Amino acid sequence: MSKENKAKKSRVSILGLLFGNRKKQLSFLEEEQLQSPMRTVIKNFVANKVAMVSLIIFLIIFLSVLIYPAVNHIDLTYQEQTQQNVAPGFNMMKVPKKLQGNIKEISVGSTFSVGVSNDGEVFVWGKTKITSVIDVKDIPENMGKVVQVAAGADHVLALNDQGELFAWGNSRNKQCAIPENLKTVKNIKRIYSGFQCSAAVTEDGNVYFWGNTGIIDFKIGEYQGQIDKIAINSQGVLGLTKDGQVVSLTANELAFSRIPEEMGKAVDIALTAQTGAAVTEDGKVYVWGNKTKTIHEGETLEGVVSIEGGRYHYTAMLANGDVVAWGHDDFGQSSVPSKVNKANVTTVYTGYYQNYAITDSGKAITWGLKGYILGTDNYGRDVLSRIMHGGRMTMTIGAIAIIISVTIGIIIGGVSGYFGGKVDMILMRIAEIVYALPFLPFAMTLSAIIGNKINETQRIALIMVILGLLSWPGDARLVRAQVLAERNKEFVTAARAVGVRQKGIIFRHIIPNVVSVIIVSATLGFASAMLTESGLSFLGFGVREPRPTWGNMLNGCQSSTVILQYWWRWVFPSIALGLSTISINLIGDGLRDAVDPKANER
Amino acid sequence: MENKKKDKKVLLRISNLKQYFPIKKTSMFQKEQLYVKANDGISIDIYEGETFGLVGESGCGKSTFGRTLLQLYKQTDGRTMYYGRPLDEIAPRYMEDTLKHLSTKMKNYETHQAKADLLQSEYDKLTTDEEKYNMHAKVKEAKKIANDAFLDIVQVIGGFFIEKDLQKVSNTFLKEYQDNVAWCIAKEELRKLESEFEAAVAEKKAKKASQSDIDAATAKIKAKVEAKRNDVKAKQATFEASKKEIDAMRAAYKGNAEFEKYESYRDEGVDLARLTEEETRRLRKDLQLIFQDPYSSLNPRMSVGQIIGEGLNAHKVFHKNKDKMQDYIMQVMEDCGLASYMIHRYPHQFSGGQRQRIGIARSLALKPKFVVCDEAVSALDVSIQSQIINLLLDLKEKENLTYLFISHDLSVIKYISDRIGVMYLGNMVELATTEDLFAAPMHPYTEALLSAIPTTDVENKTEPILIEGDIPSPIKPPKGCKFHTRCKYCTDICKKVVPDLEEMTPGHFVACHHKRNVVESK
Amino acid sequence: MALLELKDLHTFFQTKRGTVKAVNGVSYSVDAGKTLGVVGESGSGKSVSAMSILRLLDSNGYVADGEIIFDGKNIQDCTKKEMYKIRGNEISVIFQEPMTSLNPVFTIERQLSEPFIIHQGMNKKQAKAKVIEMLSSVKIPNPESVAKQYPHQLSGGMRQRVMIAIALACQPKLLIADEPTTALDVTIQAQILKLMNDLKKEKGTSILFITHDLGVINQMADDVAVMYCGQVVEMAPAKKIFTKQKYSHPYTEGLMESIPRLDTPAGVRLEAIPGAVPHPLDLPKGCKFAPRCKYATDKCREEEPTLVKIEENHQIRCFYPEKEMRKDGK
Repeated sequence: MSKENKAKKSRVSILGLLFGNRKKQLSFLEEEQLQSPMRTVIKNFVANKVAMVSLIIFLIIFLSVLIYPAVNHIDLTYQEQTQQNVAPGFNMMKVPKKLQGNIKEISVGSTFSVGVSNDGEVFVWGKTKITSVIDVKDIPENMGKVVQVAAGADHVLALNDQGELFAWGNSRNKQCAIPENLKTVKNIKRIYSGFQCSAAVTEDGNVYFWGNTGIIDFKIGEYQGQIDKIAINSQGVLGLTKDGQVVSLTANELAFSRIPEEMGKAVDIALTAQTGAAVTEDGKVYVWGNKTKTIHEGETLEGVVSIEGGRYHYTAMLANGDVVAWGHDDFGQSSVPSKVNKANVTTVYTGYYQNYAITDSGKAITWGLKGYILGTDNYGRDVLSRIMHGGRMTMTIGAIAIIISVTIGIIIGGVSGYFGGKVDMILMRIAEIVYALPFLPFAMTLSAIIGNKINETQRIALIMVILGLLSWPGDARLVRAQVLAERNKEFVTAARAVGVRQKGIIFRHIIPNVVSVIIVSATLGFASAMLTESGLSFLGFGVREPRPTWGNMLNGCQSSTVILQYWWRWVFPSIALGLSTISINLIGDGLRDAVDPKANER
Repeated sequence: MENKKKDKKVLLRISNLKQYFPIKKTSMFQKEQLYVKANDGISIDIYEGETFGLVGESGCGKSTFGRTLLQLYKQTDGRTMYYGRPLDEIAPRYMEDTLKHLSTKMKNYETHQAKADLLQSEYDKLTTDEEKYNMHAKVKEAKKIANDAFLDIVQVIGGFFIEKDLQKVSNTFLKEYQDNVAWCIAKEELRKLESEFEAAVAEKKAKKASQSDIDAATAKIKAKVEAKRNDVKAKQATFEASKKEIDAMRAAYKGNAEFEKYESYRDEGVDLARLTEEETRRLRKDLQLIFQDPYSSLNPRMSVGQIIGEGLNAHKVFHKNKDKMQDYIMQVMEDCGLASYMIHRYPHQFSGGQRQRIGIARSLALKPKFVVCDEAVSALDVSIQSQIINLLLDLKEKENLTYLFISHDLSVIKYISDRIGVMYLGNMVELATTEDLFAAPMHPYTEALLSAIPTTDVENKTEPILIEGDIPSPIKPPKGCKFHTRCKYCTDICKKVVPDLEEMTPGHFVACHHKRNVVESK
Repeated sequence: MALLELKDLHTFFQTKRGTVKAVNGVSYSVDAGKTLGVVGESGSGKSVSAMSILRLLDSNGYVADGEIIFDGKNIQDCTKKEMYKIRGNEISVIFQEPMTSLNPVFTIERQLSEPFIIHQGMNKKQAKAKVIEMLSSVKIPNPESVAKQYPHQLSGGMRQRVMIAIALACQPKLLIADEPTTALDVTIQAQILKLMNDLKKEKGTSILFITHDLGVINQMADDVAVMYCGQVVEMAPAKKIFTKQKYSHPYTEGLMESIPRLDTPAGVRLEAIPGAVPHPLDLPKGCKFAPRCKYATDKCREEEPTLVKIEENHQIRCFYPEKEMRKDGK
């Protein structure tokens, strides 16, 4: 084949490649002729399956931690005691099939719900495991036909048709210890379960309250015997008297204790964590207390019949059968699905973050918090969100640290390698001194000494700088060695021999050949910087709570309880950290193999 | 090396070239700095248009010599005079230095000369051979230093060496020198402008603009070129004038025998060793190198076009005229047996022989006058070697090149060279025309080397003359004649006195105390 | 009687890009007490064929077909244990770069005496005496002091002598020398070649001598096999190869004409073989040499010639082995 023909052929095949015409198999020699060294590197890298899979994994992690925090901002002060240590899963509102269509009543607990069927059978679903031994799913036997249930934060009350009261679940604060004087009372009208406490209202307007009186200082006083219904949250109790007056039933003053006086006669009351609400005779809603965000929106409603309170939202039934919800919407608890209002809803049950609308056929339509994909931690914060935000922090710190270290490394290594002699000697001795500093003790000491005097942002910057300043000697040595090797190569001599200036030699011959090595080293260094940051944060010397990083997420997992019971709190951050560092390392290895021309010879 | 062939023009005159590489001290307490004496006083003339073959075993310093010659290493000592360009085209800075400090230099020379004379007289008083042997090197060294100081001066000012009023000489010459520099700078600027103008015209032409359009668009730059041209002419006139002034001064000494004697030392060559880095860089255009290893000598990240074009860019040969450069590179590639369509390919896509052609193209693109071929065919396969040799010979003929062909392969050297120098441990031991050397080698080493080459001749398989032992280390070479440890003719003098390279028959030099023995034994 | 016989040997290497047929149907034989010179360019398969004999191929290489008969045994059938016995004992090998085969942290004496102490149960003193004897047998001056040195303290020539001493220590029947003098200087090469020739005469060892240097082949070999692209293209006694004959392979002819020789008159242009050795993964159809052969016809480009016995002791792989015919024919 003549050379001209060959050229034509290769041109044709370039076109073929461009237009996806891959029918004709090129011989590898022809293929090779189409390749610049850069393309060969890319081709080698792409051909490396392990590296490519790692790259994809890393990109997914990288993009997630980049995009997720940008879309979902984190509230660093967020804490939710009712959602602590929730296991991963989406079954919080998964109404059992046997119950569906036969619902008599549902009561919503913090992470679980209790329902009773028309046949009086009790069902518990959701995250029912309270501690390693206590599970609210362990329903007491021989309760008979249950007519009423009430779910609290960690316990359940049930009332059967004989007027007998049952309680199970966590009883550390005596919330399950039914008072002796109540056991004889048979005219219980309504039972209530709150945060570590329980209450019952009798037909004759009496209220019995038991449980953790340390949290709620219950005081009924003059209203005993007049109460129609009550509402409980984690701090207090509101009561509605039979003549429509809303009263606070706690001894101490609370945010929602000051009940508006102009309200008139109320027919229903509800509580969220910080506010109270009442529906008046004329179908209007009044909200008082610590009114945050959109919690007062319901005040414009008309024709309200009844109201239910969640943790930070309300739901109300209107006279026309519509269901309205307002308040916080973090978990979609205020977003009533459209099918609710299409169906014929009879009752709405709301609590915490979950809502159940019961239709006339006894079926439940649910909205709100289904669960957490990766569970929550000991402050009730979503682990997924913290992993994403923490990942961004960890990667940012790693990246900036590696940029600092690589920049110093390139400058010092480059100068050292290119000029040699005394400069080289001095710089390399400095590098050795820095290399000899024991990293962890040094970083810990430094962080401990000045870490407390500065604010959070400065601390983070400090960690980046410490990481960067202590890890450059490796890069410097690498660059120096590479520059030395390149400088002595024949093609550099050749460039000098044709009269290329020193600048040209440095930029055209030495740097391009050093860059690949730097990229590989920076990639590997990135992984180790991330690990080091995590190590520091894990030990408490890096980024501190509540700002998440992968390292300090693991910080809370030093106790055996967490490791054994709340595995999701350490498994997921570990997986994220491990997966990223391993994939970065594999990418780095892949790059090294792709760059190394010797790997191409085989 | 005073003998000059009248009919041939010397291109390079290397005298007493030394290249020592310091060795890193092995311990802090090592006082003496050791050197690898890669080249230990080499003197040769290379004539224009010839191929000078340099042969020797590994470690003899032949590659170092080639590279030192091109000033790729800073030479330790010696003069490397280059005659490829008139002195006033380069106007080296060291001339200015000499002219400015003429009187100090003169004093310096006088003290050195006095020292040398003293040593010589001491040497002459010595009676025993033993003492003379020991003293010999010292006297030689002192003489050399004095001579260097002397040459530094007379090569620049020539006969005015005898002039009493050095200040006047200094001033007149300095003026001439400065005018010369100004002229050179103007010329270079003009060249760049012309190239720019040409590029501008070509660009317009490519767009099929009419002649009047072209004229209009390039009028500005054309005016610049014209202005520069006049400037160059003016500068040249000034320079010529100051030159005439010196000629007038010279005329005053007409007939003065002493003046004429010193005037003959005046050298129109450029001492490469004393040029500044930038001057050397500019001269690299003339002096090129072809490497042994076609793999490591090409940057794997540059395409063939970039590799060949690098030198052109560095010297701004096609200043701002990319198209013309590309055409030129393709032309060079064709000349070197590479298809021009390969211009965008990368080195790894070529075979060894083709890569060597790229290396050759890179060197020859600059239109050099002198090329060092450093083992240019040694790394190639047998069947490729001859292709490259043929190419080198063709190009030499076409471009009127001068080669310094370095190889350990005597058959190749014999085939390609006009004259051959044989090196051993940093010294030239024998130098002769190819026919002379092969017909009658005078140095025992040459003799052994020639007979050691395995030949494909079946009929007269001669038993090779084996030389015992290994090549000594160039760090601590043997005293006296460096070959004496392996030489069968070795006598006492060989162990003590370094033999000089002497001309035995016209054009046949040998450095051996016993060269006659060799001739007789043959 | 042939000591070593290769019959239609095929050695392949499995690479990412395909199968490299490094040795593609090679047959040659080494007679007892004789030297066979194998000559060829890089990539001709000359070294691979020798390494196949010792079964010392890289992990991706394998013998695909053919027989290797050494001293009546088929080497392919030998177990690993038997191979250990054959290597070093019956077949020894010398490589181009002797430094790589010597351990840099032990003295020459220690390295050389070890096998005697381990395998032959000698005590240290006996072993040392044996080492000195070995070293002096390869004409190393001052064997006592050389024995105490480390490999890096020796020159290339000395190291190669030590390697030869090791190779010959067990009186092997066959010595494989793979470019033993390529890394050496001419004067040292001459010393080593003479030493090998002397030892061959003295001990009657057969030698398989691999080199790219025709001059060296001429000095060493009794018979010559010229290899190209994994095949033997011509096989004949050295005399026939190096003198003008009626028959020859165009490649051999080209090689002889293309290298400058000391007797090449000045000014005569070298007859270069055009082109380059084809890539082992992109071998041409038909005769492998056809693209570079000035006599090539369409037949050459289509069909592959076989190795044909032209006359006594002379085999050529060419359709037109007769020189006259070629010139006339085309």
